[in-house]
Amino acid sequence: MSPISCHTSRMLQWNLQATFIWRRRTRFSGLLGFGWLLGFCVWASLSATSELNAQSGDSLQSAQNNANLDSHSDDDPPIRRKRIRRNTKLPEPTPDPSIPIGTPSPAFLGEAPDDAIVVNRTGTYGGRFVYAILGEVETFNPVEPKGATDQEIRALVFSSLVQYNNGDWHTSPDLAKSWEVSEDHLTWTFFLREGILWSDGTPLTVDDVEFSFHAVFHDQIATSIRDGFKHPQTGDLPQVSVDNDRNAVIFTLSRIDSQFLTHLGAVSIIPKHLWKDHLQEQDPTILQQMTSNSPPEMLVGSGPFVLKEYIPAEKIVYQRNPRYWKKDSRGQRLPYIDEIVILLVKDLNLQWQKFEAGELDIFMDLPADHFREATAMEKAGTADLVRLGVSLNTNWVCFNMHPGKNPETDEPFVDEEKSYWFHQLDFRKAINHAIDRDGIKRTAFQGRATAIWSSVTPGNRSWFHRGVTTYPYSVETAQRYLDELGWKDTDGDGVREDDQGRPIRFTLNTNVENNLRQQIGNMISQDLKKVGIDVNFKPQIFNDLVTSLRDSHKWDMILLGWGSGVPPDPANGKNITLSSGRLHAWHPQQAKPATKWEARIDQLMAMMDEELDDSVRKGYFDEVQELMGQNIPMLYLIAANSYCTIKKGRLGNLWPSLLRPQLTWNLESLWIRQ
Amino acid sequence: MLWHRLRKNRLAMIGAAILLVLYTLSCFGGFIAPYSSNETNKYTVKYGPMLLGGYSIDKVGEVIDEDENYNEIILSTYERNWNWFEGGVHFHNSANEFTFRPHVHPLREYQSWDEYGESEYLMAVDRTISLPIQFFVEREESHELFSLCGFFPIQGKTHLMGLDTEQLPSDRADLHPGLFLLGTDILGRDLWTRILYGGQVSLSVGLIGIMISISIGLVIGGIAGYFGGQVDFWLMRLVELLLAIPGLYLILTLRYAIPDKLSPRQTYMMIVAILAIVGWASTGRMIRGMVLSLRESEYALAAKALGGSSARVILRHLLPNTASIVIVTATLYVPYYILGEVALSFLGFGITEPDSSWGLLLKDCNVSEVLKYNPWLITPGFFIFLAVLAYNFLGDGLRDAADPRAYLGLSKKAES
Repeated sequence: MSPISCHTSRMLQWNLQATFIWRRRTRFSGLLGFGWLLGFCVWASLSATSELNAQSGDSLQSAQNNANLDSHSDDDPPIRRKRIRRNTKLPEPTPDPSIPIGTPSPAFLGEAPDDAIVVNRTGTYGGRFVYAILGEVETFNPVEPKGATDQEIRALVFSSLVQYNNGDWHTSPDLAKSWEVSEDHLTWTFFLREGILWSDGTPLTVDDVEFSFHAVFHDQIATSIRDGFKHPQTGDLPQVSVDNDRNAVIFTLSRIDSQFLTHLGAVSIIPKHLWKDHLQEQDPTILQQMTSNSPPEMLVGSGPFVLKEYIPAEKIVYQRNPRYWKKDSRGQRLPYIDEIVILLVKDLNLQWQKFEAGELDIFMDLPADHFREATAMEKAGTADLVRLGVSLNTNWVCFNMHPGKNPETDEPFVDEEKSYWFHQLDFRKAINHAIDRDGIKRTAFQGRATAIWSSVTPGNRSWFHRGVTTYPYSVETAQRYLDELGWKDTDGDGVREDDQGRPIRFTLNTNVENNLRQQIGNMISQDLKKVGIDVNFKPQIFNDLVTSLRDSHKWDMILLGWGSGVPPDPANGKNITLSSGRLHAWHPQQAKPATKWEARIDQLMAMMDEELDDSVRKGYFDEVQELMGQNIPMLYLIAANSYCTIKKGRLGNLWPSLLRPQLTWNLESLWIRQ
Repeated sequence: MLWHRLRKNRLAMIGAAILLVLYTLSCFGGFIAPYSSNETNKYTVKYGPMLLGGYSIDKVGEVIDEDENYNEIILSTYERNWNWFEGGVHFHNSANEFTFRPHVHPLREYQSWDEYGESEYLMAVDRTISLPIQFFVEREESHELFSLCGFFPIQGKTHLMGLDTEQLPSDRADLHPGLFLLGTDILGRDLWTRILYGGQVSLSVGLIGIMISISIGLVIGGIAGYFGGQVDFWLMRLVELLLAIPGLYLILTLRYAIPDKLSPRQTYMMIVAILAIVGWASTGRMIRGMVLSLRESEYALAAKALGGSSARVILRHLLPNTASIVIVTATLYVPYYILGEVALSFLGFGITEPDSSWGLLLKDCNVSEVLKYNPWLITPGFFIFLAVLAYNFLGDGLRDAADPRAYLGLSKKAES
C-alpha cells in the first residue's frame, strides 16, 4: 500500500468516527456534547451515585428538614435564642479602684499641678502599645500638619486650649481651664491652667499661647488651620491679646462664629522659648522646624507623650511625657502606657496580617474583606470586635456640570451634548433610580453597608435628617423618566439616543488603587446599561484623577468618597457645600452661585456660621440636605459599617468612637492589661 | 526534520497539547462560556465551584428583635458549610431519577442575623429542585462565538451550555439559578467565563508581543551584525542601556504615558507594545551574534560577491538562517510576556475592570481572606501556571530538536 492511500484510509476512519459521534450525540442529547468535560463527568457521576444513595432513603425527610429550617418544631433540641444588642451609643468606661497601680517607667518628674484636669478613670502603669497607620509622616510640625496621619500624631505630643471629646461628641477644656464669652459673642477670654510645664521643664505661659496663634495667623504661612478663622467675606482674622494678671488669652472676633471652639482646638500650642527666632516678619522659617528630620528631643510639647525615636518608613516610638499634667480619679498621673510604637505600614493587607499574627494591639477601620477573619478571631477568643455602626464616610457619584471653557484651547470642559444631559434634572433622577444600592451593598460591601441619600449618614446621630428625598431602585421609574425626556433607543443597539439623536454614552472614572470603588463602579455601569445608558467605566491612577478634577475639569462622571471630619459638623464641609468651594465637585469655585438653590445653600451655610444654637443650625442644614436631595448634583450611594478589632482584653478604659482615630483618641487614659 | 525530532520528546508534545487546548478554549471562549464576560449578579457573590460541590445551610440559632411597632420578631442565624462532591453538578432530576443529563441545584438565599443586629446573606443550594444543563442554548443578547484571541470576532447567540430555568417555581423569589462550574467572584460573575475571556488577553499578549519584539530584534540585530564597526558598537550600547534598566519600572513609567482616552482594547495593545519595546533587547543581541558569524559563511560572501545589496543579503540569506534559533527563543520568551501582563494587571497598571485577564482575576486574591474562605478564586493562577509551564516544555523541546549536536548524537559529554 502506498503512503498516500494509507493516509486516505486514515481520513476515512476519522470520518466514520465523526459520524458515529454525531449519531450518538443525537441519541443522548447533551452528554457527549460535553466533549472536553468528559473526564470530569466520570467522577461527577461517581459522586452523583453517592449522592443518590444518600438521598434515596430519606429524600422525603431531607425535604422536611429543608422546611424545618423555617418553622422550628418542638421535637428538635432547643435552639438558643438571644436578644439583639444594638450599640447605639458606646458607654463611657467607669473607674475601678481595685486595679493595681503599678510603677511607671520612665517615672514622672515633679508633682502634678493643682490645676490639673482629673479624668474619671483608673488604670495600671506600664506596657507597650503597638499599632499601625497607613502612609508616612510628612512632618511633625503642628503649625501645618499635612494629612490625617500628621494630625493624629500631633495630638500625642501637643495639646490645645480645648479638646474635642470623640466619645461623647463634645468640646471640653484642655490647657484652658475655663472661658468667658462676651454678650455680643465677639470677645472670648480663655483662662490658662497654672503650673503646667513643657516636657523640657519650662513653664507653659500665656505668651506661648499667643506665640502659637501668631504663628498660625502669620501672613506668609499658608496653613489650612488659618482658613477656618477667616471671615468669609473680608478674610479678617481674630485679634489675639494677653492678660497677664488674669493669666488669660483674649480673642476678639470680627463676626459671630459658631465653630470658633472647633477651630481653636485645631491650633496646637508650641513652646515660644524654642521657636521664637523662627517666626520672622519676613520669610518665617518655622515650618522648616520640627520636621521629620529634626532630632526627637527638639519636639518639646505639652501632650501625654514625647517622641523617642523615628525611623522613616518603619516606625515612630513615643514614651511617656514625665511632666504631663492630668490625673486620674485616684490622684495618679497620666498617661498609664509607658511606650507607644506606631508602625508605618503602607499596605492594608500587610497591616491586617500583622494584627492577626499578634504584632499589633489594635486594627482600626476594618475593611469588609477582612470581616470574616475578624469574626473568626472573635469566636476563637483572640480578638474583640467592636461594631461601631454606619460609618460617617460616604461614597458618591457626580456629573461634571462645569459650564466653563478651557482658557488655553477655548474648548468647553464638558462636551456640549454631555453638558446638556447632565444639566437635566430628570436625567439625574433617572440615574439615581437606576443605581441598585442593594446590589452594591451585597457585592462590594458583602452586605455590611447602608444606602444613603445625603452627605450625612445615619451614623451621624446629631446631623442625620430623615426628610431627604430618596430615589429607590426601580428600572421602570428610571426608564419612564428617560422616555419622558424623549430619549429613546431609536436604532435598536440597546443604547438610548437623546432628542437630537446622539447616543447617551459617557465615561465613569474612579481611582484604580481602590478595589472597593472599582467594584462599585462596575456595578453602576452594569445598572446603567440596563436602562440603555452606555457607561465606559475606566478606573484611573489617583493623581491623574485629581488633576482632571482640580485643573483640567475633563471628566464626565466620577465615583469618589468623602471622609468625615472631626467634629462631624457640616460646617467642616464648607469646601464642598459652598458654591465657591474647591471641592464643590460638580462645578467648583464658582464666582457667583450658578443656580438659585446653590445661592440658597450658600445663604444657609452663612446663617449656620453665625448661629450658636445647634438645634436652629440643624434646621438650616436639614434644608441644605433637602435642597441637595431635590436637585441631586451629587448622588450619594452607600456608607460602609465601621468595625475595629482589638487584641482580646488587651486595653483598659477603651471608649470606641465612630470618629477618627476610633480607638486611640484617648490614648492618655488607656492602659495595658498584661 | 525538526518536527520528527520534536515528536519524540514527550514533554514537549504534552506542552504543545496543553497550549492547543488553552488557545482553543480562549478562541471559542464566548461560545463555551455560559455567561457574557461581565455579567454581575448580586445574589451569587463568592459562591463556590459547582464542579466540586456545594454549600449546605444549618440553622444554628435565633435572635429576638423588635419591629417598628415594638412587637417581638424572631430572626434566624445560619451557618454555611461546604460539602465536597455534594450539591454541585449531579445526574438526577428533581424527582430524584437518574439521567445522563447533568443537573445543578438553584441557589437559595438565607438572611442570617447575628446578636448585634447585623445580617449577612448566605447562598446555599436548594436540594429539592434540580435544573437540567442544556447544550447549545440560545440567549437573547448576542456575543462573540469565535475570535482570534479577541480579534476578528464572529457574533452569535448560541452558548455551549446554559441552565434550563423553566422548571423553577415562578413564585420563589429567594431562588437564584446559576451555572457556576468554577465558582463566582465578588461581583457574582462566573469565574469560568471570566477565565475564558481573560485567556484571550493573557494568551495573545505573548504571541503579539513576541512578534513585535522579534521583528525589532531581527532588524536591529541583523543590521548590527552585518555592518559591524560603529553601527554595531552604538546599537549594542543601546541594547545594553535597555538591558540595564529595571524592566518593571520602565514599564510602569511608560504606562503613565498612555493617554487616558483610549478604549480598553487600544490600551491593551499599548501594553503589549510596551512589553515588546522593553523586551527586544536580548533577542536583538542574540541575533546580532548569529549574523556576525553567518556573514563570514561562504554563501553570504558569495551573495555579496555577486553584487547583492546589503538588504538583500540580510533578508534573503542571513536572517532565514537564524530562523530555528528565533523560533526557539520566541517560544521560550512568550511566558515572560504572559507573566509581564499578569504583573502589570495585578498592580493595576494593565488591564482594568470591567475587562478580564488572568492577572486581573488574580488581583482579587491579594486579600488573605480570599485564600482562606474563597480559595477557588486562585484558579486563574493555575491557568497561568499551566500556560507558562507548557510554553517552557515546548521551548525546551524545540531547542533540543533544533540543536544539531543532539541530532547527530554528540552530547557535550562525548565532546569532552
